[in-house]
Amino acid sequence: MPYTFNGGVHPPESKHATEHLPVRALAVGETLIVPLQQHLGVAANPVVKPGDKVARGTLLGEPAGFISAAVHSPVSGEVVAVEPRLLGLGRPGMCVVVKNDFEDRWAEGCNVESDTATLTAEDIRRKVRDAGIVGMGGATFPTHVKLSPPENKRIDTLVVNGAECEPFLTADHALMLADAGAIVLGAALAARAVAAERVLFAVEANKPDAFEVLDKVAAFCDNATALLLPTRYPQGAEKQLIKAVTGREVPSGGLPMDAGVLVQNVATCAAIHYGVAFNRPLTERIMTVTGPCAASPGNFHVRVGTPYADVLREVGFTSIPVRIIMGGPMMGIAQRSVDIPVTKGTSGLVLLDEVPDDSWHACIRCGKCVRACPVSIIPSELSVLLEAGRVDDAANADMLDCIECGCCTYVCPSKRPIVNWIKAGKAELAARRAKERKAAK
Amino acid sequence: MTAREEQFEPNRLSIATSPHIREAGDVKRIMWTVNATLVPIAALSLFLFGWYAGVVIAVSVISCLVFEAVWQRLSGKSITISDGSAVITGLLLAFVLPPNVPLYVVIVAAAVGILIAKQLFGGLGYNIWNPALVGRAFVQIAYPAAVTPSTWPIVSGDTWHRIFMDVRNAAPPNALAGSSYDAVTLATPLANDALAGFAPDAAGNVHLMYPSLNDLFLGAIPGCIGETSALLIILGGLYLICKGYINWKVPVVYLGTVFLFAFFFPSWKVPGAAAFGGLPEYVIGLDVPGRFFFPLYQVFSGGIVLGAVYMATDMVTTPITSRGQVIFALGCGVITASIRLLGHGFPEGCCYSILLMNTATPLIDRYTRPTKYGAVKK
Repeated sequence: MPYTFNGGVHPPESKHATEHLPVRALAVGETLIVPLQQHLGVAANPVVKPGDKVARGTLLGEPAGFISAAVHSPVSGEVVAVEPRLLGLGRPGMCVVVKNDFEDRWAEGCNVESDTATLTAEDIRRKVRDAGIVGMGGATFPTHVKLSPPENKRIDTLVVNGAECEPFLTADHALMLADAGAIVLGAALAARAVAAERVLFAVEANKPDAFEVLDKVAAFCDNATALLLPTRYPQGAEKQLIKAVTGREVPSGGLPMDAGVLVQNVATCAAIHYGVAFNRPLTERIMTVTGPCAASPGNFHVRVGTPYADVLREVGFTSIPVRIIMGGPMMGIAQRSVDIPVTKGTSGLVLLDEVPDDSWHACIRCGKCVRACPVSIIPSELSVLLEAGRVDDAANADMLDCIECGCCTYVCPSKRPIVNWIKAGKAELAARRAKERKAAK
Repeated sequence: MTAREEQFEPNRLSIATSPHIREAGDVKRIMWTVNATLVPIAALSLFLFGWYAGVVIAVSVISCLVFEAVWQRLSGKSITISDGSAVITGLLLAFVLPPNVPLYVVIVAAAVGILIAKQLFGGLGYNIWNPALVGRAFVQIAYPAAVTPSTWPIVSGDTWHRIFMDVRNAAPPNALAGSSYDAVTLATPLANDALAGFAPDAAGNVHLMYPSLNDLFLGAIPGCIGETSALLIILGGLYLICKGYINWKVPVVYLGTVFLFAFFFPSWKVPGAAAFGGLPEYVIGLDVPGRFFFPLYQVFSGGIVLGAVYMATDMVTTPITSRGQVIFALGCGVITASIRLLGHGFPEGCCYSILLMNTATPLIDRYTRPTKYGAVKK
């Protein structure tokens, strides 16, 4: 393996509790809360109203624009409310609340196998869009947009992301063991949609069993190779993964397609397969529920819209969690409530029994953050500038290149909240630029 | 226990932005680890130079702690002396003072180092110059006589292997006339005229007396309290390299640069050495490791091993990237070699080389920024 990426860290993997557990089915609950925004971009427009009968796969919200995604009912039953609910990002968002009738009827035309051999790139994009597929690694970018590169961008490589570099999470690992065929077939469809010449399956070395399986089934996809990468966070970050498997860098401020690469998460590929070949809208996913407070941690098939409480009841606690994280501990988001629903991007819940102390000290310029930074900027410098409120100077010191992976903050011996300052600095800069644009008009 | 919703009343769940885990280890652990590696060096100095060296070390460390605590109390900051950084300054300051230094000089040096060089600039993390070296530089100028080592170790080295050299001009320089030869050493053995003691042989000829390279490496030589034993300093440095606290390239490049300068330009001798017949030629002519003798003498004499391992690697006052650190070390080596081989005033160049390069650190940082991911290649 000739390539790698700069920097990175190797936190304790903490995957032992769930990494070899088969995926457990979770009894579907009585009430499902389906957010109309489970993706980056614009929220879907609701197309149902309270009292409407729905089946599994019935459209609840239609995409509102190109960078938006459809939302479908995860169960059959009745719409009881269309109202704002608290969501995982910490703010309320419009949701369709569906009461489950436990018949689990599919909507007409859904879950029907169809031939994919004759589908054109445009057909695949349309079906992906209709199935409401978004990036399931956590970024939740609408997949049909990624499959629609502009005419002048040539994509030659599809990288299928099975790195799962976040500690604790094993959902992708479990999927690779359980359903590698769907991943490979979905990858073949994605490759066809963008006319990529080769497909690279990237798996970290801490999942050798998943690598072996993918290595075997890769034969079902043309010009596909499975790669075993040394375990290092944030290898699963798009730009780092591209560097690690192709040696190319995405230009600063650019997109993967500018490097001729498309990256799709393994779960997204499987969703593409089921969406295109079986007309199954994306209404369920595999998620990991684990952490020091989890009594019976595991990987679960969960319907989108399931409140955390339903999953946590199944898992049980050894002690009450101090913090519940959606996603992994490096980039995941602390959750305010257990009434928040699982979305298409919820790769897991980590139940922590302790959290870092939030006191911090002056930077001693030890350079650990500089060595850990995967985009080779100088986090310590940004931290000093931003601590002093110098957002413009920070912008000149490559603040906007930060991918917010948190490596700098993870290693800092002065415990400085570097990435938090950077996020706040970016937000302030964005707000100010928006204001300036408004004033210029 | 079940996951009942009422267990999660608002504000029961802790909210903060990622990352939600942190690597073990903090500033305290780094500082106290460095201190731990300095302890063997302090212990050896007691063995070599006697109890007074211990008094100097204790006074230096306590002064640094007291000055820091008093400053922080008076300026209304929280007192952070338990972080170990003032202890490092105290130990290193004592290490670069001679074993017979008067205690008031130690206290003045500690005050200058902690109050002016460190706290006036904002405390740990904000200082531009290494506090211990600023303290030392100040007293070297203010009390030059008191800061010149003139004590042989009470436990002398392997006397049999000392190198005796004929002195062409039989008479020692006037300055030395009449003094007790045993007691005369100037600064640390820098392989120039400051190198050696003088000893008369049975015939009454005066000889320059040099410690062997062995003694030099092990530390049984005159010199400052903590800088004589290259062995213990290197062992401490290896440990810190293994812990990832210091960059191995810094001591290697620093000492390597001095070695190469001494190797290729031994004739850049200090004019004072001419009084003894041109020392470097003598050295080269000796029945010792040929051309390597003089450069090795340069590397293992004086304070540069201590400086290269413990001061040129100080996190706060040196560049932040590995490339910048290499440039820093190279600069230290060039300046040290220049002061030693070309200079007229000072026999030692380590302290000033590091302070000068500390000054250049922001500049080095500016020109050694790493190429960021995705930067447009030129």
